[in-house]
Amino acid sequence: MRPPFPVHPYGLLQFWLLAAAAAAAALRASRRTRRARALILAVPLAAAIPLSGYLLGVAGELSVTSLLLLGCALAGALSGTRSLPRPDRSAVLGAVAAGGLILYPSASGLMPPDAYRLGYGPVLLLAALLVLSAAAWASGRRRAALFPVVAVAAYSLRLLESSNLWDYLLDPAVVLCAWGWTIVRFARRQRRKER
Amino acid sequence: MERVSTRVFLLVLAAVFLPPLQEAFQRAPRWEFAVPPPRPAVPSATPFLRSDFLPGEGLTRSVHCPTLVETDGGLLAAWYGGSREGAADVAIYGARWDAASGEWGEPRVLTDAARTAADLGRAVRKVGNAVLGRDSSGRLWLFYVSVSAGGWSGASLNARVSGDGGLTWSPARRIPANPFFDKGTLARCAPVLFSDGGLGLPVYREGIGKFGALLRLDPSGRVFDEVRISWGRSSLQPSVVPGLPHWAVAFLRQSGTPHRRILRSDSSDGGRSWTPPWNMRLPNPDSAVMGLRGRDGTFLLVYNALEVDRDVLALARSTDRGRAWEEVYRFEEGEPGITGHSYPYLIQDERGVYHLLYSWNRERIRHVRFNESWLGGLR
Repeated sequence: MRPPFPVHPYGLLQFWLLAAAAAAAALRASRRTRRARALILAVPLAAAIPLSGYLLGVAGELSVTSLLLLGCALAGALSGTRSLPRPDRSAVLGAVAAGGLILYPSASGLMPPDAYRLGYGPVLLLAALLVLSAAAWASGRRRAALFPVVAVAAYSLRLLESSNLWDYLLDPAVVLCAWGWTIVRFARRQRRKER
Repeated sequence: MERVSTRVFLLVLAAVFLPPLQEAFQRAPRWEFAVPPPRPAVPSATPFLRSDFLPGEGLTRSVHCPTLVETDGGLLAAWYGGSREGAADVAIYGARWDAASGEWGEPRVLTDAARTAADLGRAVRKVGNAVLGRDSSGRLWLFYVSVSAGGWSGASLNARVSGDGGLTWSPARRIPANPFFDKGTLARCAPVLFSDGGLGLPVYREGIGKFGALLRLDPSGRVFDEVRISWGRSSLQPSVVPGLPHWAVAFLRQSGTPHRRILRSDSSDGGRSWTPPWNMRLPNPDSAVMGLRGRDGTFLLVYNALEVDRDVLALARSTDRGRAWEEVYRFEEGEPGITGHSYPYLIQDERGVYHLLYSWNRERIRHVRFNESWLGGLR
């Protein structure tokens, strides 16, 4: 089948990772045969060729952080192991939730400060990411430490259409997931305390 | 082993972070508008004001949002047209005006949703506002918005470039400028030139907030900085008019409040920062305005001179660098059955002739041209 649009490589990758991670989790891929696992990877790829342009149209290019998290989810679902250890996951999602709180309210334009502008010529943002990455490594969260490294490498290579560093780090989808995760985690903790 | 892997990590950190940090430190864009010194008007020329309509009547049922740029030997105009605003059949049309003959050529499609989708590799449902501009190397830019899902708050910016005066155009490329899935950024008014040769594109956001901003673009069209002109939920479509290398004024459409006035914001540091917008005396019925500094230093503003509808389209002039404004002419007075004259776009060509395009009842695009002598004779 001829795709309705020329294939956009990053769009194809994000659609495939999203669909394959969802399929692998839903079908419990780690318990399947090797052939079944290959199908779980291949079918979303085949679907991505005609359909990835629709996701790209609606959501644009997702952040590198989103793709890394989807990659970890896919690897974990295929292997049956945790590809992103719990402390690392907490560090990444906590940083994403905090970053979203800094970026999105000011980017809405309802107030004068504009955190999004910090993503152009981003000395401050790069310095903060450098510190975060080093701190994560020093505290043993080594996979989490690689998230900003990969995002900044992608920014240096201008892998996305955007030239704003924030777009390599965050997108509304991953921020909403991180906020949801933070709220659920907080609620669970409260419940545990009450017991 | 532990120490080795930490050393490797530190090397990776240095290799990844140092180049962008160095690039960011070295980047020093000039915040200075390219403003030619004022030239006296030509008083001896015979005053004239002429008007005609762009061709293509009946080509599409609805037309809107014209834009204009000077080319070698004439003008290139663009606008969007289709069965209605926001319909899937809307395309961006272009037509050339030959200065020698004073005639418009036949319109042709510059781009549409299908072409944009093919260029960008993604679903595009409709196209809308277009803005033409010219950079310091003479290339023409066609900025325009496209929407993949939803209304104008789902719009994204795109650009095509022409190195041959608009005969052929590059494929469209996306100009991301918004962290909300790159949705809700639109353009309406003319780009400005900076003294380092870069373009500044006035844009506005329609999403949670409605506000104006100025994007700074590098020669490849990538955004390398963005400055807010306003904030909140009621200002949009900034028309940025540089008056001096370090001073510019932005006129903004005001929406959402009764008894609306044109909003104004000033920058006295080459566009790096802007004053909070304030109400001018001139009314604004939630419609687009267009400002221009003529080559003799006169400031002009084309706007709808009523608080409630777009029937009257007027010209205001300021001869004291934007301090005092007076309405000097009405291009349209309003007539029964005509619902509005809006989205003015004003330029001045190399010979000093002003060209104004506007949407006439959303059915046709009107072209009005006048010279400095005619303007000088208005009291």
